[in-house]
Formats: sequence, C-alpha cells, structure tokens
Amino acid sequence: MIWHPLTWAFWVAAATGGLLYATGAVQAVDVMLNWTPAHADIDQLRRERHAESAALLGHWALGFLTAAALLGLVGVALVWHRMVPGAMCGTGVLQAMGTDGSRAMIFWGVSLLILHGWRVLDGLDVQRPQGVLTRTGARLMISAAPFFLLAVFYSWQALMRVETVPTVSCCAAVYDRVLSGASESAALKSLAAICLWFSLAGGAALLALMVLKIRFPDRGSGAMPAIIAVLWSFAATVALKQVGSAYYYQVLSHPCPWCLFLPDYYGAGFFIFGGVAVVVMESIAIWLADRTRRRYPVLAGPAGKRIQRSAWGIVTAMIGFTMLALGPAIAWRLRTGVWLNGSP
Amino acid sequence: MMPGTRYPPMVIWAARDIQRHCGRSMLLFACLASLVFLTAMALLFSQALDATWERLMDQAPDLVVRRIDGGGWAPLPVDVAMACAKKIPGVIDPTPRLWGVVPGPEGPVTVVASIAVVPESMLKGIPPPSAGQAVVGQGVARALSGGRLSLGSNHSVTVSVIHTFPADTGLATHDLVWMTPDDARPLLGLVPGQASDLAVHLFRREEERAIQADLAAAFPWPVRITDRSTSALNHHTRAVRSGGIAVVAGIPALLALLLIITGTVVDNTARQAYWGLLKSMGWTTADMVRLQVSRAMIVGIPAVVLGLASAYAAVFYPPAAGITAFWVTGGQHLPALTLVSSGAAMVMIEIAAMVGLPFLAAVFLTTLRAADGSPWTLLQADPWN
Amino acid sequence: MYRPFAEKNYRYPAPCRGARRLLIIAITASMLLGIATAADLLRRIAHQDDGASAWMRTMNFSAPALWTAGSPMRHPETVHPGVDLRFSAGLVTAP
Repeated sequence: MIWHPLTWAFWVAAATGGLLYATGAVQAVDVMLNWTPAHADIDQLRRERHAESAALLGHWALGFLTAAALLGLVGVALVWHRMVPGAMCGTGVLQAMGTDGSRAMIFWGVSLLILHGWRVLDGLDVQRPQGVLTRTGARLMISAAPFFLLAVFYSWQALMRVETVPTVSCCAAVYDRVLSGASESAALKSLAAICLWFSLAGGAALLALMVLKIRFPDRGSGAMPAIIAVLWSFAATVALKQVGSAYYYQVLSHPCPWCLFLPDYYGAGFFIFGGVAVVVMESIAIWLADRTRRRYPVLAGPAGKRIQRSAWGIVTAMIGFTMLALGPAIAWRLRTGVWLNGSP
Repeated sequence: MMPGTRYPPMVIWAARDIQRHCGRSMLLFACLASLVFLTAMALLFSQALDATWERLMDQAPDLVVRRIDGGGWAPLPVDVAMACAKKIPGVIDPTPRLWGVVPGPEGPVTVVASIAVVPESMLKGIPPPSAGQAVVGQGVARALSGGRLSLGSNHSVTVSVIHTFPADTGLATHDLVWMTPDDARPLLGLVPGQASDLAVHLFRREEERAIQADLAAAFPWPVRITDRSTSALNHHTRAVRSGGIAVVAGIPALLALLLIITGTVVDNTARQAYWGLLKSMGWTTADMVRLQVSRAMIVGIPAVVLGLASAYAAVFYPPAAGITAFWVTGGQHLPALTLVSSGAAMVMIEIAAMVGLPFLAAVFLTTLRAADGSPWTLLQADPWN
Repeated sequence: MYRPFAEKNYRYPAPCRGARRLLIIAITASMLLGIATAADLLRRIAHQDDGASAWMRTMNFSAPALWTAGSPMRHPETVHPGVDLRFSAGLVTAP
C-alpha cells in the first residue's frame, strides 16, 4: 500500500496543503491576538497584510486539502481494494484499515467543514472595508488545526495498517450484518423505514425552507435549516444504504454504500454523496451568513446574497440527490408494478 | 477558449511576462515535461502490464493440477485423473493439457498440442496442424529458416511451419508452437494416455481455495495445485511495488524540479522592486499571486499534458512499447506488447497531482513571500536605490 | 462606463499580439493533446485483446505470454514448491 502511486499522490497533496495551512495559521495567530481595526499605526498595517496573506493561504490550503481528500476518497472507493486480499470495494478497505480508517474520514470531514465555514466568513468579510469579521475568521481558521492534525495522524495509521493486513471478507461483513439475528434485522428494518420517511419529509421541509430563503433572505432563522440538513443527511444516508441502493444493485440485503462508487454502477456514489455533502455545507453557510447578518448590520446586504446563493445550491443538490437516489426505484416500480421487496 | 475569444488582461500580462523571460520558461517547460514523462512512463508501464495480465488471466483455468513425485513433476495418466477430478462436486470440465517448454532455435519455446478439436470460429483461416506440421507464434516465426523448425535437444523433432498466429493474438501466442499430440509427445517425454497436467474450471470461482484440499485428496498420487487468485494478487502487489519504486527513483528528478523552483524564487526576490511598484499603483497581493500563478500555468499545463501524452504513446503503441519495455525492465519482456489501457487515466491523474500540486504550491508560496512586504520596503530593494 | 475588453471589435495593442498568440498555442496544444489521449483511451478500452483472450481460453493457458517461455511468470504452474526462487534472482524480477 505504501508503494501505491495514489497513496503518494494523496500524501503529496496533503503535505502541500498542510504546509500552506500551517503558514496561514501562523499568520492568523497575530491577527487573532492583536486585531484593532480602528487604528492605523504601523503594527495594524502589518497585521492587515498578515490577514490578507493568511486569507490567500487559507483559500489555497482549502483547495489542496480538498484535492487530497478527493484523492483519498477515490483511493478507498476505487483503487486500494485491489491491494487488500479479499476486498471488492471500499467496505473491504475500511475493514482492513480498522477503526483508524473511519476516524480519519471523520476528521478529514470535520476539518474541511471548518475551513469551509471560514471561507464563507472570509467571503463576507472582504465585501466591506471595516473588517469586522477578520478576527472571527482567523479564530475559525486556527481552530481547524487540531482536527487536521488528527486527520493526518489517523490517515497515516490507517494506510500503514493496510500494508500488513490478513485476508478480509468484504461482502461477508455486509451479509453478516443483515443475517445476524432475526430480532436485530426487524429493528433494522423499522429503522430503515423511519429513516426513509424522515429523509423524504426532511427533504421536502428543506426544499420549502429554501424557497422561503430565496424569496426572503432577511427573515427567519438560519440555524433551523442547518439542523434539519444535518439530521436529514444522516437519515438520507441510512435510507439510501438500506433502501435506495438495492435498486442499483438489483438485489435485496446488500446494503453497501461503497459499492455505489464502483464503475459498475457508473460511480453514482460520487454524485449522490456529493449532493449530501453540498447540502450540509451550504446549510452551514446559511447558518453562518444569518448569524453575521444579525450581529453586523453593515454586512446584511452581502449576507443576504450569500444566503440566496446557498439556498439555490441546496435546491440544486437536493434535486440531483433525489433523482439519483429515488430515480432507479421509481423506474423499477413503473416497469414491474411492485417495489423490490415485493410490496405493491 | 478558441482563437476568437478575448482573454482576461491578467493572463495576457502573464503571457507577456513569459515572453520576456523566454529562455527560463523554455527550460521550465522542458524540465516539467521530461519529469512527467519519466515518472508517468514507468508507472503507466507497470500499470498496463498489470491490467493486461489481469484481463487475460480472467480466461485462465481456475486450478491446475500437476502430479509430483520424488523427482519433481511427473506425467499424469489422463483417464484416472479425469475420473478422480469429476468426482468432486463443483468441478466442471477438467481438461488434460499437453504442453511443455522446449529449446528452440532461439531460446525456449512453448509447445502445445490440443487434444480436443479447436472450433472453426476460433481458427479464422488458420489451418490446424496435421502430422509433421506446426503453427507458430510471431516470436518463433522470426527465427525460422526456410519454413522448417527444429525443436528439442535430445530427441529433436523437425516440423514444417504452415502458418503463423496473427499479431493481435500475440499476448497469448507469442512464443507458441502448436502441433499435433503425436508430434508433441516424444518432445515432452510422454507416452499416449498421459498428459502434462489437468486444467480445472470451477462452477463457483470463489471456491478456488476451499476446493483445493478435496481435489488433492481425490487423486491416488501426490499432486500440486496452483490457483489463479494467489498468483494474480502477487502479481498486482509486485506491479504496484515496482511502479512505486520507479517513482522513488524519480526523486532526483523531483530534486531537479525543486532546483527550478528555487530559480523561480531567486527571480521573484530580485524583482521585489517591481512588485513594490505594482503594489504602490494599487495591485493587491492577490493580484500578483494571480499573475504569477497564471504565468506558471501557461507553462506548466502544456508541459504536464505533453509529458503525459508522450508517456502514453510510448507505452501503448506497439513499436514504441517494445522499446519502453526493454528500457524499463532490461529486456525481460517480449517485444510485441499491445497492452490493455484500463486504469491508465487514474495513473495520469495521479502523476498530474503529484507533480502539478507541489509545483503550483511552490510558485504560490514564493510569490506570496516576495510580494508580501509593504510597498515602501519593496521599493527600497531596487538596486538603483 | 468604458470597458475596453468587453467591446466587440477590441484589438489588442501591438505588443500584446505575440502574447495572445502564445496563449492560443498553449491552450490549443494542450486541448488537442488531451482530447487525442482521451479519445485513444476510450477507443482502446473496447476489447483490443479479444483474440488473445480467445486463444488463452481455447488452449487453457495459465498465464499470458508477457514473459519469455520458460520463466516462472510465463508458466506459474511449473514452479516447484521445493525450489526457492530467491536464488535465481533473474527469474523473478518482474516487470
């Protein structure tokens, strides 16, 4: 595994991104500690230069780290399973990585989310010369550091562990989970049904909220769409795994989210889970912009525009997600007259 | 972005900057392109070899049973072996094979004889050999003299070559001599009723490992069974490893890249006064970064694309592929390689990321460092000051 | 407002024409090379080794002829478990 060229590409992207991020974060510390926007002395001028280059570095670091995360995702989903004896998709790779793999993915996600939030704030901050958000932005940017360090640490652990792995059984893990115990599977079935209905209802509610946000960006709370979107993303993932994926695989009881990424299923997983990621990210952008609008009236105009843009993004992503996740199911129903599990 | 469009002024400015430092830009272009070419060629070659191997191995028998005794491999009685193998549930169509490696005029060749009749749809104009005749692969045909082929050292057999396998089947037939079983047996040291080994296909391929013990126990003599997946995994690991080693061997080239980048740094710091002038006219640091990055991309993107495309051509076009194979492996492989290209796109993305991202980051960081002063300090750096 | 680059018939000043030509060359060349490579890749993905596969199946070969005859990579079934290939270094260095 350590010899795999994709691993090298991943580490190169992560290392350059980390270098840029570290340089930016060091400059942001000065900004965070001593920012005095009302003054015009030589120190404040230096800090403004620092803030500018920290922002530039942050944008580039976010780009590089996103590239690294995408390379890692492609590796887990498409490439590395060929190096693991017995693995056929990302499930096998994650199984070989142990808990470190999923931890690494979680920490990568969190650090990218924090940096994304910083990017939203920075985008608002540069709209007005007062620089009211510069300090908050610097704080947010620095706060991604521990998560990023943990992400790198766990990725290292996970990739090193794959090097000496015994044979894994990828599909057996999925099937075992389905077959182990009838009571458990009944609970799972009802959980899947709850998640399916919740994801449908949450999706509809989110769409309605977004239409409202597009019409009236200056009204209503921003935290509500964020909470709904985060809860919806969990429910939608579970529902997709338990219900929607079956229509891609054309078999029941193979609830594997990673097989969706394979070229056999046209890499649908990238688009479906990408849609979920866009919804979560843009809802957080709405929340941050709404907070900014309430606290700093000087930024109300740009924040309103940002909210509208994010709302459009969420609407687009939701439509794409729904079409990809439910489309095969509906096509199946229209063609055969029943759902895949036999119910009319 | 066709010729009719207007380009952003910043990009035009960057292009003018490139023209102003023409030699340096050409050097950067050549270095980047050759670096990408060298690493991509090694990686693409090992990847393509691996993909070809895997695609063809899909057709190979799941298990091969060979009889062993104290002296090594022993011939296999066909009837007994077939009867034993058929007893095991899950085994379909066990086929005895008659084949062996025999010294030819220019190094060893693979002699095969098919006991069953080859279907007409396979032959496509190739006449099946009758007694005293042979059909040979492209690699053997090259060493022929006058249509006669003499094989073996002790009991040498001379056959007349009636046809050659077409070039597009070379991946399977390159070193092949196909003759009748009766001609082949004396060469391989077999008597009628014996075969070299037994190829076994399974009803469920996943049982490959599980069925081996049952199969081995069914034969009245000791056998050795080789399966496909073990060798496939070994081969894949080995190919990936050698690709990785090729990349590591590219580290000197990466150092050279670093040197070029250092050159860019020197260039940037020497132009501090220029940056100061631009800054005092109202450019922001972000503008300067944009200028330098577009400059780097105008040179870098064509260089990376050219390197990748030429590496692709060198690996996948048969005449060039032979030279590449000779170069990369030191002549171990057969010259007529037509490799399968699945997975090549991924390798190209990997290389582009591995070379392009650090290059861009270096350009960005050095520009930021050079242009990040206050305009006054930057202007002070003017040598005329 | 005067926007020089948005005008329909804007002509670049003379010193910029060379730069524009350079840009056009860079963009066109990389696009052509990229498209050619991608097209070749797509063309090749469809079954260029069908003939070889068919003969592999018919003759029941255990490995393709990527290596010379007699080497253990060409005939993996001939490798005796009692023979340690570490001592024949040239035989196993693949690819």
